[in-house]
Amino acid sequence: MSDAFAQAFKDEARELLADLEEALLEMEDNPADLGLVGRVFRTMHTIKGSGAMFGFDDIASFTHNVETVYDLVRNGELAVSKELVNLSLAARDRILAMLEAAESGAPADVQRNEEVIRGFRALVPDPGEEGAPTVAQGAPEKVEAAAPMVTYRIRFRPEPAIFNSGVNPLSLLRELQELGPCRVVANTCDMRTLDALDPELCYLYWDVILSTCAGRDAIDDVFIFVTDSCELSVTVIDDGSVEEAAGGYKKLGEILIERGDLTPEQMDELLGKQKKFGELALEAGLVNAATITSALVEQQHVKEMRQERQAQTQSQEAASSIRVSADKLDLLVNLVGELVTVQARLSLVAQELKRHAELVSVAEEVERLTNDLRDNALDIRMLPIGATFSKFKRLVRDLSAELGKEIELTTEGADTELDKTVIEKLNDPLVHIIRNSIDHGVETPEQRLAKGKPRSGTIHLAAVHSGDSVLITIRDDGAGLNVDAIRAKAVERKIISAGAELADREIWQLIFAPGFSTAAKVTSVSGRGVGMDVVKQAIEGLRGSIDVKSEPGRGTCITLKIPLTLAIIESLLVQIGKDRFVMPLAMVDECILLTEKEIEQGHGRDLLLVREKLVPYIPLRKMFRIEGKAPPIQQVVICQLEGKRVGLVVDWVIGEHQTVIKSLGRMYQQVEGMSGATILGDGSVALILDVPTIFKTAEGAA
Amino acid sequence: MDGAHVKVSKRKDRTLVTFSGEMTIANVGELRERLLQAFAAGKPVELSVAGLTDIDVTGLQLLCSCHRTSVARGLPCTVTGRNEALAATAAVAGMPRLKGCVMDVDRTCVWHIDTDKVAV
Repeated sequence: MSDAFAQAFKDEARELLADLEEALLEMEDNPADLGLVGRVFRTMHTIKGSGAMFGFDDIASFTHNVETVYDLVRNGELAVSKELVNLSLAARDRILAMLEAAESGAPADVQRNEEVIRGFRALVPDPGEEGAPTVAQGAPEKVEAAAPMVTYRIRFRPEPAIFNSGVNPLSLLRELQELGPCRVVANTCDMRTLDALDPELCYLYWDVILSTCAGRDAIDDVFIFVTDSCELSVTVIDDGSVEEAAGGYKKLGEILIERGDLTPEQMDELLGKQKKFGELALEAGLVNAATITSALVEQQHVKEMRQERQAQTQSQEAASSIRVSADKLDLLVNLVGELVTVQARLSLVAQELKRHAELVSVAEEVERLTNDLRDNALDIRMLPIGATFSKFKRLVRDLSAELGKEIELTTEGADTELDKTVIEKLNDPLVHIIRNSIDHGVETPEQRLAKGKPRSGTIHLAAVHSGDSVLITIRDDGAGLNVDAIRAKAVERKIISAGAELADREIWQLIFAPGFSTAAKVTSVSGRGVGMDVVKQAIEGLRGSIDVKSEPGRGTCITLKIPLTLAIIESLLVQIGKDRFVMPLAMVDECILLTEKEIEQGHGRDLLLVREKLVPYIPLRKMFRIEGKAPPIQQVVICQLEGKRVGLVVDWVIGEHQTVIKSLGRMYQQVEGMSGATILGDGSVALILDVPTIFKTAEGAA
Repeated sequence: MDGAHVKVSKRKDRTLVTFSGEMTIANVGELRERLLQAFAAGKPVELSVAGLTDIDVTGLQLLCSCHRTSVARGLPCTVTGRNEALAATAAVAGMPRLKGCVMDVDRTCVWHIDTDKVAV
């Protein structure tokens, strides 16, 4: 067994387990939904099957026990209960633990496994009959071979005296219906009135449209004892191939002709008249209503089967994507970044050598292709945030149970896509925020009822695109932030002075101060004061921002604004002296001129009147201590930050720039005001301005 | 099988045929006789099927034939009483349909699927 296969199984199993968790949690909410039970069952079955195939026998036999129970649930013999979900979640964790144990080589905790299995067995109504489903069960059956589902048209016309031989057509039909999705139409056209009826003869015949994986033999087996006493024709009308699924199904007329109920000539004649074909055929008396009904049923059946297959194929196609290691993707994005840089240089050269029209057109072509390539490469790294969201469902469920609270997590915008790295780095901050909401935000059911709120609290997690960013909102309907408590704590910790006057908004921001916690006691969930400052750091590390809103008694809403990608950003290129800098375009509001006269009017205060409003500005030349004299007319880039407008003074604004972000390396990590660097078209380096930090530094200095 | 369980009661406006027990090949012959009698009364026929415990293909045929007879003689014939066993068997046999047979000009087919009725 090659390691590569084992690894593939582990990857797949992890995905399946995530899916399983989601299904289980959904099932808890909708215990009557048999579709979900089926999903759980299938997932277990797949884990079992592939586990056995790749030599993970412990996983296979463990899962087999769980699957047995779900088989009962699926057949309606056992109801979905909270207990069952709890056990299943525990089982899911055990499978994951076994996977990890197999990876590290450490033995799995067999005892825990047995506990879970015992729990499951206790649920089964009659364990005696179940025959103690244990390891002794032998090798679990192979994963079903994926035989295509073939659709047959079966016309079964028993001879009138068939009842005399003791044959019951009903049981034959039942057998057929067990083979797969099946539609039966009894044809009653030979039926007599009571006077003419011999009740012991068979006047009916049947058209059966059956889709099955079992194959032709299985159908023949059903009729094996009656072949002599009936007319039987079995025709394949849909062989299960994907190609055919694309088109619809045959027209009614075609079906009737194929069945021999109508001749092509008759049909052509009818088609001359413009009416619904079925009605025409009926009116003309060529076929009877039952025949048409039966043909229509066939049409519908095959259409449905094909639609389903198409949907399946589509999902299979989605699932049959290649796994590429993240490193390779990172490398690709890096290379594309280099290419973008080189392309910028090419465009620059082409601009300078304008005489060479050919060169200019090639440069333009390269620019277009590079842009497409860049968009595609970045797009590959985009993942929906939904997987992260569903992880939190479990977190909320377990934590709220631990704390005796009733909390429901609702999500929105799970298909919002974000760069893979961003999603990974978002996980921890989100966990912290949600933990905080559960612990401090949402009250216990008793407290909530006393306040006249619904017993169970809600945490709403939403993601939505906004320009080149994604807004992630975590909203709870809990107690809200206690402004007084935060204030008192901040004074105690000497973060603010006792007399400081702060707006609520500023007080809310204090929760992000390092080591800050108002929780009276340390719980297992939160209260140790590590958390929100980590959140802020992590979000700022992603070049994002964080915003808190709170209403006492109504709840808290934390909004994270996260850039879509970390690799390439649209930015504004500016120059001070000989140095060039870039700043994220998303922050830039406008650019205006700053004359010497206007500086004088400020009387030493860095304020500028823009459309009758004062805007403070930061002379970057002074701040960065760049030698030389500023030009007589400078430019101010006005940025929007946390609702305020602040200007950055530069010598010249050069223009928009595609910035491929390069990190500054460890040597320069302590440099404030710079978040990275980029390489310009002419090969020189420009630093990326960390606008929020610059503001903060300037604010502190003022 | 100790004879068919069927009661034919003549009402003012209709003939009520109440079935109970089985309607299978073992007794359809006898049931047919009784049904013919019911139709012979010349009044609308109501077939109450709620009491049926089992039905087979011959039974289904019999019901279908009643409908034919009613259409042929111009006597309304209705099936009343919900019966899950009957509905299930009829479904297996592929009897329920959206459009009646060629005889069914007035849409009185006993197998007609009504949107508000589950089956039959």
